[in-house]
Amino acid sequence: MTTPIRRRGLTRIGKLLSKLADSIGALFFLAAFSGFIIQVFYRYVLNDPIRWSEELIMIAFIWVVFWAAAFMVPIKRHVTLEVVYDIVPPKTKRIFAIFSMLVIIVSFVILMPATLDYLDFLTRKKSPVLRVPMHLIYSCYMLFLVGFTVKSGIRLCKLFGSDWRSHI
Amino acid sequence: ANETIELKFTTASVPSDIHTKAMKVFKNSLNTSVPGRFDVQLYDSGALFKSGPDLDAMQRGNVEMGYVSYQLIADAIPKYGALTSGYLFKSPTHYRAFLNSKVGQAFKKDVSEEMDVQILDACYLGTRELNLRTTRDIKTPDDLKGVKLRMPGSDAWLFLGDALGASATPMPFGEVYLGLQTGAIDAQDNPLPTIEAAKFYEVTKQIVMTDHLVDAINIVVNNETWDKLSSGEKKAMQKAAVTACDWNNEKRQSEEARLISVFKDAGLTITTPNVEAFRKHVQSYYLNSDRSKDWPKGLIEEINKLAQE
Amino acid sequence: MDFFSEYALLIMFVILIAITITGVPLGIAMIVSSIFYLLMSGNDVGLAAENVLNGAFGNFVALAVPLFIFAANIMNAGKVTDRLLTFSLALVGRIPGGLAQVNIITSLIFSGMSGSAISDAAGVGKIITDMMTKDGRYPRGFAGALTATSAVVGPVFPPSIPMVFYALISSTSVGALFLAGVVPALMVCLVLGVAVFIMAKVRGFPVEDAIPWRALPIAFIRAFPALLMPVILLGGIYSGVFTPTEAAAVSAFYALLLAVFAYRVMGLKDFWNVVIDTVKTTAVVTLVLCGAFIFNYVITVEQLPQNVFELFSSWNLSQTEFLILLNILYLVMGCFLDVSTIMLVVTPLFIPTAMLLGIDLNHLGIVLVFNMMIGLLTPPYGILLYIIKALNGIPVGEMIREIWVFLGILITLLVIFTFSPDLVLWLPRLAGML
Ligand code: NA
Ligand code: NA
Repeated sequence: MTTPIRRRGLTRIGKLLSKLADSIGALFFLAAFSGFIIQVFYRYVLNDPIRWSEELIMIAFIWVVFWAAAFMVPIKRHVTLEVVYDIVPPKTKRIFAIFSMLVIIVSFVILMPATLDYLDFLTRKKSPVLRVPMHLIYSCYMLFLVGFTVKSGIRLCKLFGSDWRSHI
Repeated sequence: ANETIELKFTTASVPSDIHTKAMKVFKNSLNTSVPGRFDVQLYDSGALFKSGPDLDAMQRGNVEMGYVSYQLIADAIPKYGALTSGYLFKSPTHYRAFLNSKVGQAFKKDVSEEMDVQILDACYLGTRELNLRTTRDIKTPDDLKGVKLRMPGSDAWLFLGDALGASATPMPFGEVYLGLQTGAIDAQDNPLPTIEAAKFYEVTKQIVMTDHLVDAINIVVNNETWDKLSSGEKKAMQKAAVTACDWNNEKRQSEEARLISVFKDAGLTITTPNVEAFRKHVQSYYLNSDRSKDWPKGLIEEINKLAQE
Repeated sequence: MDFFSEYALLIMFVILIAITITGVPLGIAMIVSSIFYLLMSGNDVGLAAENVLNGAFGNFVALAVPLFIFAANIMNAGKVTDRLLTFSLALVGRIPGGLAQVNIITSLIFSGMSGSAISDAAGVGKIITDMMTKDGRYPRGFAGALTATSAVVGPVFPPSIPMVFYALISSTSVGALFLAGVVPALMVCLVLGVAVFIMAKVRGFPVEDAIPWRALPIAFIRAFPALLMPVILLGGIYSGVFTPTEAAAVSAFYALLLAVFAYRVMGLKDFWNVVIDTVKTTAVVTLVLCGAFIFNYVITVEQLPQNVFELFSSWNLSQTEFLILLNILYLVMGCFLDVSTIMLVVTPLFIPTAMLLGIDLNHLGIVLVFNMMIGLLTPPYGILLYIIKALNGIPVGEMIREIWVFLGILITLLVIFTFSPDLVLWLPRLAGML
């Protein structure tokens, strides 16, 4: 049994982790943004185009997207079609939410080994300019799948709990 | 008695491109020589896979056929970067002479082992020339100093741009028209049919006939499919590829001949530089760089010899 | 097994609909339903990783989207919008329906820096709606409906996030599309201004206390650095100083300089919050695009666009009939579906047919984007109405009662744009881009 104090501790760790996740995502984004500014500066101010910036920007960009999708954005903040969900009663909402979390978990678990297989295949490829191994660049997708599955699992547990109304 | 084999054949090029149309020639030829054995499906415009990812897709068995450039091969097998250097191949037939030679056989074997695809034939893409937004007097590589020459955004291409004496600038193809119009870049390089198709002639004033790269692209099939075929079927597939490339090469060459006068009529200045000066500069630029260290011994000489035969 | 492979596509659509209704986010739903398709058709499930990653990694144009969002967020957080309001008030406050006119003109100016209707309604739109409804100066429903309607201009006038997406799927030039949106956006504002003028006379809406003309230069100077932003953005793109994607980065950089140095209204903490907020929105928007990459792969393999194309050819439609049909279809879809669904799932199906009928894809882009923006207003799924409800507390019902006149105006303009390609394409042609 968790005591209230322990629970408060857990919440604090959770908040800390989410702050950390936010900061990492923000740094990826700022890297991509600065890459652009540097690229424009070199090309048009110094008249000396650089080659590595485009690729660096792209790497930072896909890490931003999958990192943030998994670790920064709550599931309910993603683009959803609320037309039906918004008008059904809470009990139906709960069933809907449980169903959708289950579907996500099942299909992402199916996708995981296939993704690992693809990443393994990519070990022999390198990015065109910086020559970074492609499986490292693309590993953000695996991170995304795992993160999103865990997140869906947590929401699923909460939907089965007594406080389900605040998670529909 | 055999079941039909599905052949998804994909390209990133658009329907109006000659080597996109050549895919239909391939399909017809194959269906005529082995009727009913293959279900050839053609996909263009990168709708299925973009160029680069299409090789991955062939290797992973998600698509059976495609076009593979020499740059992409050099990416996977760095020693064949030699084949992407400027002023190496002289003509479409030179490519074929190479593929059928002893060094060519070794090359195809390496590609099969390391990239898991069979090269069926090389289709001519055209001879790359310089296309400038304002007229300049360009005779030697020195005259290109400081000229922002757009090249595709990969290492091998940018190196070629530098080797020509220009200041190579990476830019996605889709942005080149605007870049030329506004002066973000001073020049771009492509074969004449591309200059027409992308309407670059509207925003440029001059074409310098450097002939710096006679370009070709290989029709390939993945080994997973290749190994399933009987020797007769393999021959039929090779013959279909040769038929397709024959058709393509003839069309391309007559296009190139026709376009010179079209561009002149459109008001462009067409000039011929001191090609020998460019050739010397480019070849020594490659040979004096780190990248030529991995090149197979004697490969360049063998290929040069094949040009004369 | 045969059953599954034969009906794989159909089953995929059923799954997609079922899970989006139960609340699976759209981008995830497209990935999930594609996984089931790949399983049933005996394909490599890894394609649902491969296509998504290669699609996102190769796409420089897609990157413009987060950067435009970044720029708009900085503008909103940095109180740059306040100065635009003061300036607009001095400019048009004295016209009948003054604040309503200000609402329209700020939308137009703000649209020159933002690419999305939602950031317009949530930023400058929220402030002006508050001003309009304070002391009951305007009926709440009217204020909300007008804010929603004028926000539609945001993605028609450049920059524009929906147009970046359209350029991605139709292989048109972002620069040409942006330029093509200018004339239609100005027309929308002009017509709305006239309509508000008439409504103000008829319904007796208030006129604002005239700010003396001599105050205008000062308001102008204070707003000037912000007004300069669209000029830098468009000037930069069309003079070749930067590509559209770079322009997005440069305008965010400029907004940052303004907020931090010129107006001194943004501290480090504000900046950090804006970055985190932008990252979250980026993920939300791009994830939908990622889902579309694998989803579009599936519909291409299944040759669905060809089937749609053959269906349309068998009807022997003329250009005009096709455009009418397409517009009706999009207006109906706009009532129920979200812009990204229509743009990324449905639009690729019609591009081949439009091309064959000789419709200019740049023109089509403006028509479809404008049509989809109208969809942001149409009940039941008029997302702008819900955003204004959330921000300003105006009941959706009151806004719906007022929205019909505006919808009538917008649809009339849609018809005009649909059948005047020369009007829409005039500016990009003048600039020599088409
Ligand atoms: Na805009
Ligand atoms: Na407004």
